[in-house]
This record gives sequence, C-alpha cells and structure tokens, in this order.
Amino acid sequence: MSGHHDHSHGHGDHGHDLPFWRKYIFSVDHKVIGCQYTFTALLFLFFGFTLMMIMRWQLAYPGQPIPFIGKYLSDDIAADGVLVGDGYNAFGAMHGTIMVFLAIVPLGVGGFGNYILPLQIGAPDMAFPKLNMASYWVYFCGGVTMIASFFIKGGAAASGWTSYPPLSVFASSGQTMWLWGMVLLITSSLLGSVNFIVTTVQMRVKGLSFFRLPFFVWAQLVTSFLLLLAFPPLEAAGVLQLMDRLAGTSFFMPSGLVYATEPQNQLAGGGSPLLWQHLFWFLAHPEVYVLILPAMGIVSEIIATNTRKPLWGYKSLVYSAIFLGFMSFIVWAHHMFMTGMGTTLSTFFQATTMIISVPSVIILTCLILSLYGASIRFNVPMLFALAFLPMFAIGGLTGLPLGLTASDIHLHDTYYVIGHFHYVVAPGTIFAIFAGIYYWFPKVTGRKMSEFLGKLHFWPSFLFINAVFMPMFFQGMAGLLRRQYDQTEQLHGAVAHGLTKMSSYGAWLLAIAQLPFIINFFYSMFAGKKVGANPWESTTLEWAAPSPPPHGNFDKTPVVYCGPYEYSVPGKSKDYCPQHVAQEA
Amino acid sequence: MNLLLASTQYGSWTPPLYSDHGGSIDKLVDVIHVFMFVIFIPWAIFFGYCLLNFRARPGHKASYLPIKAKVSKYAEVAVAVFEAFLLLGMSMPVWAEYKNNPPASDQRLDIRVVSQQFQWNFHYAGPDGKFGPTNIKLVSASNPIGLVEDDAAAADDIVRVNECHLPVDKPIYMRLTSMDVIHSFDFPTMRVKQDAIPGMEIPIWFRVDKSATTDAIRPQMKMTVPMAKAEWYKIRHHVAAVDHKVKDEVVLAKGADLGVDLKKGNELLDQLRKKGLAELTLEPRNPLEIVCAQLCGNSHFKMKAQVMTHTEDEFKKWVAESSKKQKLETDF
Amino acid sequence: MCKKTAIWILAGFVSLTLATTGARADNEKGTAVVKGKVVFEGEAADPKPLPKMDADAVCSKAHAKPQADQGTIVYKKDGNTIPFVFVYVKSGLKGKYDAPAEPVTLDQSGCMYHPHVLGMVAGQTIQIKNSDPTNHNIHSLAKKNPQFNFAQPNAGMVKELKTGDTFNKPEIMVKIKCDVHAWMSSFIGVCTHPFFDVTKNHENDGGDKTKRGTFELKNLPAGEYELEAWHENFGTVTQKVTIKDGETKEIEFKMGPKKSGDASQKMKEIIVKENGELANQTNAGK
Repeated sequence: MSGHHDHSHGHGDHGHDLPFWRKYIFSVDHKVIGCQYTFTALLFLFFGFTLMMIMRWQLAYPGQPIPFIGKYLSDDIAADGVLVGDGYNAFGAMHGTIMVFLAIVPLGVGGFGNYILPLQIGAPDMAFPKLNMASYWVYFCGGVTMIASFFIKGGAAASGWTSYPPLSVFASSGQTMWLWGMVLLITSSLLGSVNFIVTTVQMRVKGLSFFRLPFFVWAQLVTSFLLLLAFPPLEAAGVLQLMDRLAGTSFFMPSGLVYATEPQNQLAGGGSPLLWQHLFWFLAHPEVYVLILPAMGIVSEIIATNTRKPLWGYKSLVYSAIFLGFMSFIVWAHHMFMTGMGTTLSTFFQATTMIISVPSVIILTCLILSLYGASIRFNVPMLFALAFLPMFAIGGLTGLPLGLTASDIHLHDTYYVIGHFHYVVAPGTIFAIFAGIYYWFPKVTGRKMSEFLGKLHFWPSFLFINAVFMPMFFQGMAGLLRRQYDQTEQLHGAVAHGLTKMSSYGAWLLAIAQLPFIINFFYSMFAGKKVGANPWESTTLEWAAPSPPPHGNFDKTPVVYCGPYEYSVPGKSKDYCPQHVAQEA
Repeated sequence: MNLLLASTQYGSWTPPLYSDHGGSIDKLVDVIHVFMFVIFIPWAIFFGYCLLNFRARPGHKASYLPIKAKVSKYAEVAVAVFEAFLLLGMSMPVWAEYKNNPPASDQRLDIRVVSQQFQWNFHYAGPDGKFGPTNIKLVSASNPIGLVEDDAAAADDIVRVNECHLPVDKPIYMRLTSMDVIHSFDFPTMRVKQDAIPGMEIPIWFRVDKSATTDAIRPQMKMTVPMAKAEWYKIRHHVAAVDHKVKDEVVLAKGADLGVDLKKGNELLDQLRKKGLAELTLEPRNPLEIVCAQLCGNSHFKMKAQVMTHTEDEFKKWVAESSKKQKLETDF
Repeated sequence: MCKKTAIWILAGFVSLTLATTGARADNEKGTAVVKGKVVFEGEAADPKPLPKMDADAVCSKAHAKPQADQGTIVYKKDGNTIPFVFVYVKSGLKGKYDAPAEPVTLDQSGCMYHPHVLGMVAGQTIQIKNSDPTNHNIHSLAKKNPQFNFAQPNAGMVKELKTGDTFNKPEIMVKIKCDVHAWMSSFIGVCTHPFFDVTKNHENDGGDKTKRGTFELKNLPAGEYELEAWHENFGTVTQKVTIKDGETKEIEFKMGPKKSGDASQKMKEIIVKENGELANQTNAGK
C-alpha cells in the first residue's frame, strides 16, 4: 500500500478533501471526536472549578460580597454581590453535575477512550463512526442546556446533583432544564458505550487476543458495560421526575404534603420519594467506577511504560476490573443508610461494600508492586500517575467508615464524605487525566509538552489539592455538614471555620497552579519539541501509528505478536518489544 | 495533624459525646482509623522505598520478572478478614441493637418530630400520654403542625418550634416525619442521624447521659480565645462565661454575646481590644443543637433547633407548665 | 383552553361594547367616600401566640414577649373589630387605572413583615427591604402572578420588582412567606384600581382605639359597586353600595369563623372511621 491512507476500510468519505466543517466540526473521525470531547470537557472542568471557587468564597467569608465578579452575577445568584442561598445551592448542584457528567466522564471515556482505544486495538476507526459523531453532538446539546439553565428566571437547578424529590419537584424551572440536560447526556453515553463495546469486540487486529489487550482497553470495555446497563434506569427516573414537574403526576410525591404552609392539592399522591433515590443510586454508584476505571487504565499504561517493566499481575488487574464492574451494581444502597434501613438490608449492602473494596485493593497492589525492581523515569506523566496511587488509596480507605452503617451515623452527609469522594475523583481521576494528557499529547499533536512547565504544574497542584481536601476529613469528624451555605450558622461549623478557610485558600492557589498547564498546553501545541511516532519508547499499538495519526490511523495495518507490556525482556538489545514487532527467533 | 485538630476547637476528632450508644460508634470510628493508618503507613514506606531505590539512573536496569510477593497475598487476606470483623463484630451489632430493640412503650418518652422548610417542630403528648390528631388543612402561623386543638387528646399537647426539651437518663423515642421535602435529623453530640421523609414515619431512639443536663454541659465546653485570634465567625454562638474585667471595669458581662452580625461583632471585638482585654473566656449559648443534614432548600443551613436537657423532675415540671393553655399577654 | 378562548372572546365583546357606548374616561376619580368597620359576629377566640423565635438570636432580641398571630386578632374590648382585613371594590368600576409611580414597600424587621396585609395596583413596583441582620427569604405563593423565592442575607438589602417582575394581574390575595421563619407571612391584594384599604390595627391606629378595624375608600366616582372584605382566616364577605358624588356612606362588614377547615376535618374522621370498620369486618370475615 503505497498511498498515505488506507481507504480500503471504507473511510474514504472523510478524506483530506472534505470541507472544513465536515473535517473538524461534524467529523466522523474518532480522533477529531476525541479531541472535541477533550476540549469541551476541559472547558467544563474549568467552569465547574470556577463555580466552586466562588462557593469557597462564601464559605470562607460568609455574607461578604464576592470580590471582582460579585457585581456581575444576576440577582438570582448574588444580591448586592453577596452569594445567596439559592445561588450557592445552584452552584453546588451544577458543580457536581458539570464535573461528573460534563467534565470527567467525557474526558475519561469520550476523550481518551475515543482517541486511544481504536489506536490501541489497531483499528482504523470506531465501529459506528456516525453514531460516534451523534454521541458527541448530543453531549454538546446536553452541555448547552445545562449552561443555559443559569440564565433562565430562578437560575439553575439547586436541589443538589442528586436532585432528591420532593425538593426537586417543588424547585424552580432550572430543574426542568437539568432533567432535559440529563436525558441528553445519558443518551449520549448510551450511544458511546454501544460503540465502544462493538469496536473492542469486533475490530481488534490480527493477533490481538483479549489477554493481549492493554489494560486501558479493558478498563474502557468494563466502563462501557457499566454505562450501558446503569444509565437507562436513571433516564427512566429522569423522565418520571419530568412528568411529576410538568404533567402533575406523583411518582415521587407522597400524599399529604404541606409546602410553605399550603396543603398541596394533589390529584394522585401516594408516590415514594425513596423510589428516586434507589433509581438514582443504581446509576450513580456504577458511575463512580465509570469515573475511576478509565483513570486506572491511563495510570497502568503510564506506569508500565515508565517503570520499563511488565505490569505486576496483568490477569489479576483484568479480573479485578471485571469483578469491580459486576459488584458496582449491588452496592448502591450504601448511599441510603440514613433513610431508615433495617438490619437485614443494611447488612447486605455493607457486606457488598466491603467486598467491592477487595478488587480495588488488588488493582492498587498490582500497580505498586509493579514499581519493585523497576527503573522509574520521573517524567511529568509519571509524576501525575504516581501521585494518583496514594491519593486514590486515601480516597479508598476513607470509604471504609462510610460503608459501615454504625460509623456512617456520625459521618453521613458531613465533609468527611466530600473529602472521601473528592480524593477518589479530584487528586485521583483528575490527576490521572492530567497524566494522560501529558502522556498522549505527543501522539495527538506530534509535539511534546514542556517538562519544566509540567513540573511547575505538578508540584504546586499536588500540594494545594491536598490543602483543599485533607482538612475536610477533620471537619467531617467534627460534625460539619455538607451543602451548608453558611457553615458558621451552626456550632459545629463555627468551631471548624479555620479549616474551612484553609480549604478555600487551597482552592484558589490550586487555580493559580493550573496556569502553567494552560500555557504549556497551547504553547506546546504550536511550538513544542517535535517528536517521532514513539517518544516514550512504549510497546502498545498507538505508538505504531505516526504522530499525529492520519485518517485511517495506520500506514500499514499492524499484526500483534505479543502481550502489551514486554519491557526489559532479557536478552534483547532494546528494553522494549512493541506489540506489532515480530519476536526475533 | 495537631494543628488540624486544634483548628476544630474540640481538641479531639469528634464533638463531645453525651449519649450512651454513641460510645460504640466512636469506638468503631477510632478502630477504623487506626486500621487505616496501619495499612497506609507501611504501604507508603514501601512506595517511597520503591521510588527511591528503583529510580532510573545510569547502570540501573529494570528486571523483567515480577517479584514473588506472598506478602501482598497475606496482606490482602488480612485486610479482608479484618473488614469482615469490622462488619460482623462492630458495625452490625450496633445497628441491630439500634434498629431491632427499641425500648418498651411504657419506659420511654415519645416525641413526634415534624420537620418542614426550615424548622423542626416537636410535638409532645403532654401529661395524658396521648397525641392529639393533626390535619394539614389547619396549618397556620400559630399552629405549625395543624394540631386539631378542640380534640380532647390534643388539649394538653405541647408543640414547640426549634426548641426541644429532653429528660436525661430515659430512653427517648422520636418518630420523624416531614411535611414537605426530605430533611435529615442530625444531633451530632448524641451521634444520632436519621432522614425525615414525607409520607413516612421513621422511629429513632437514644438515651441522654445522666450527667448531661444543659446546665452541666455548658461550663464543660468552656474555652479561652486570645483576643488576637478572636474571629467573629468562630465565636458567634458563644457567650461570655465570666465577667471580663479590665482594671476592675467590666467590659463584657457574663452571658453577653458577641454581636448578632459580622459588622457589630467586629466593632465589639475592636472595642474590647482597645480597652486592653487579653483573652475571652467563652461558652456556647446552646451547647446542644439539632441540625438538618439533608439539603432541603435555600435556607437549609438555617434549619436548627436548640436542645435543653433536664433532670427527670425538671422535665416533668416543664411538661406540666407547658401543657397548660398559654394565654397571650396583649394590650388589646 | 376552552375557558381561555371564552375569556378572550368575552373580553373582546366587552371592550367593543365599552368602545361603542363611550366608556367613562380612564383613571376617573370622584368625591364619594365609603368608610366603615369590620366586626366579628359572635364570641371570638383569644389571639394565639406565634411560636417562640429563640432559634434565631436576631429575632428573639427584637421581641421580648411572644407575638400574636395577626390572623387571629379580634379587638374584643373595642367592639369586636377585626384588623388586617383587605377591603376593596370588587366590581362596578369603569375605565382603566394606571399604576402609581411610587412603589409599595414590604419591610422585614424584627422577623415580621410590615405591613402584614397591603394592597397595590397591578403593575405597581414592589420594594422589598430587609432591615434585619439575618437571612430572610421571600417566597411568593402567587397563583396568577409570578412566583419567586429569593433570599436577602444581610441588613439594608433592597430589591425592587418592576414591570415584568411585579404583580401585573389582579389577584386576591398573593401570599408572601419567609421559609426561614415560618411564622412570617404577608398578604398582598392586587387590584386594577386604587380603591382599597386595610382595616387598622393596634400598631397603626395613631393611639385612637376606635380606629381599630376601620377602613376608608376615598375619591370614588359616583356609581353602584360591589365591595368585598377579605380576611386570611375568616374568609370573604361582599356588600353592594350605591353612592353619589360628594356622599359619604358608612357600612359594616360582619365576619364569622371560617368553617371549611373544621368541616373537612370531620369528614376525614368519618372516612377513617369507616375504613377502620371496614377493615374490621373483612378481618372478621376471614
């Protein structure tokens, strides 16, 4: 095949001669879609973080006008520049929604999954390119709907990212927009997950058996099954809540409600507020693993490459990921211990919660043991990947007292919970995402990001992110509750106010620490050091394609001869054996 | 760590504890955290050792073969066994005791808790032990739970808004419900937390320690704050525990608070600094608070009730006085 | 849908009729006065106290004694008159009336709304003030007009609801509530004209106890009107009045306890009883 592009795959319809809008806007190329996802989600990540920085002002200085931006906020959000309760709740609800559904899942699955997965299995594109494009644009519409809800009367949804009825049914019309937005986002994820599964199963190149797949592909595959099976219940629940709000049904509304001293004249009544919680958490607990599994995948790739040694216990990793995926469907009610749960049910969910910690511990152990006997290169992606390990460990361990009902009585809905899941998702998943961006940037752009600016990004970020979240464990133990507009209104909040300030300063400094990243990202895109196809001397298939890969990805369809992490094989001249290179006899 | 602990001003992990079942909760919390450190610290040492010892450097090569790590297997099994112990040995018994063995109805004090945006309504049966019926159509500004006042059973009922009176050393059986949205009844100093859900009535029970009357607790929670570090936000719920004097002049009388808002509070603190006061000796105005732990709307943070704990005799006196129909003093 | 169409058609006919018969000028005012008082018929109950405000130090400091629920006050010593009754011309006026330029004010001070009952012309600006150093939220429970629910966290905050945001449709009455302090409520009567008044109470009687429970509608054009008196707990009463230019008429509204709450409660009891018996019977059958 002498041409630059392999047109035999039926991808001639998006070659170089396409107009700009087909090539870069409504593209069906998985790489363009991956980049679109990444850019959009990074913007949402920044936006969600901004919301939190404003909230942290109110927490540190309750009732004082927000500096600089306070006066530009609408009356529904800030009165005379002072954030109001509804504004705070709206920011809180939207911070959660944006970070989970619009930033991290789209980054981990939509961005990295889309770009890397077909490359790692040697495929020219996704199995259903048009479905892939639809998935991005439905996601985009969902994002626009969410953002638009800030500008309607009454402001955005303010009932928490969990949207518990009856509060969410009584709420202003921002909640309706939230529900429409969620329906779109869920639809997008469903389209994406079907595509990922079919692509992984059907489009692996010759020689790439399931147990030769990089762990990243396994993580994406399990994630896709979670999305496919867990999201439909929430989509149904979302539609039911829309009906409660718009059509006067009462799926989640019991009889005999009195709202603002006015008896509610319900035609039906008899609904159950707890039904929503079950449906919601049936999605939202697997969702946690949707957030963390792609991160584990990214970290595994980077650790294998930069330890120059095969991952310890590859098969354990794979089985653990599958088991994790399965178990994540039967732990959801541990979010609901305080709803009046009896002993039998709570014991079951405590037991499953304890069991699900085992595969997580195994994955972490495998990654740590991979370091033993290695030759560790401390480049920027590796620093972020290594930081992921202790941060995820802290996040995981602090899940223990929350997963046991008795200790959960004291810690439920306190800052301990906030600290716990942020350690999993922020210094955990987001650090893994940063690691992934630094690691695959050369593949996407053909240029490397600056190591100096990268380290200037890593060290302050690592310090300040701990300054944000570590105090929260102590605040939670002291009894400080989450979702408090003015924490000092309560005795337990007032005594912990010093730590609140510490968290706030941490958050603002963390924002400053992101400047080197933003500069590095754009600078390196145009003026970074040019590199070849395999700058990290890695083994997996994406490095067999040119940097950046052309349409159709590979100059020549590769054939796989060995497992994914053949580093430092004794008796070889180089310390890595790429999967597509035939072993010397 | 000490710095972080000190910043919560309790000087310990958790808030003070005044209920008899709370001890086993705190014990579990402590055991889990010790367990966490036992796992995390060796793990972190191993991690640090690997990073240092196996860093890439000239002459150092990675080994292809994995380490044979029996230790990790044993560690994983040990973790699993210990988790099973935590669950079956510590968590489940507490929960089972709490959920399955409520005190008999003649030995306990029943209180209905009706939550609403954004207040806690406490409904006591009064001396006759019978709760009057309620009707949501009767809800008004002066009748927050819609008590049917002309019903015989309701005649001596007591309804209090954001004000809860409890006897010490007697099982208290609360039935929680909500009129509008989901709230969560959180009584941190008793280690009690339970959602209040509309359309459901969920019981909880606990017993206040014998010595834990409000009047006895308040001085126990006394603290001193140097004027240089006094910040209004941290001390807004405290009052002066003693007469604060500068050269025999009382500058802050016992029981005086530190201003109702930030502006007035800061003015007062400035005045006290100018007068040369060195430190404040404070105690909480209401040491016992019930707050809402579940987001319930724009003023969720304002939803709190103050709790007064009494000896059995004092409590009986309070019930007797409060159950009489109160006549409003007016000039018309 | 049908109802709305019918109203539109009706409105069309009415305006056509008005236009062809040469309606009276807009904003017409006259010299007639209707005044009087609202009295409670029968034995009134004692006023009930509002809940204690101790949980919010700002509120409890504002009131040394428990406050009366304004909706339960009857001046038994002063002729059983009732304060906080909204009296307005329900029908009989012709022509349109513009909203005055000056706003109506609703003040939150001492954790109470001032005034407790007020009237406004549709479209008039509403000014909402917070005089307390505590967080209030203002929740409109309007049925025809905009509902809102916003907070004023600090003292001195003022919000003006103008043109699109204010109440533009006639509505008797719009309830305003503070959810933080559930005892706080205010009622706004939105009329299409300025002929309304609220019966005087012990705080605004100017020291003259005979003024309590009285109202006065001034500057009425001559005509035949239907007047209505509205009270939050005692319901509504209407009366017809014919009045000439320059005339002053005195009328009295009589109100009694509203029965609806009690009636429904009895009904509910019956239902419960019947169900109970029914359940017993089925049990016995088994």
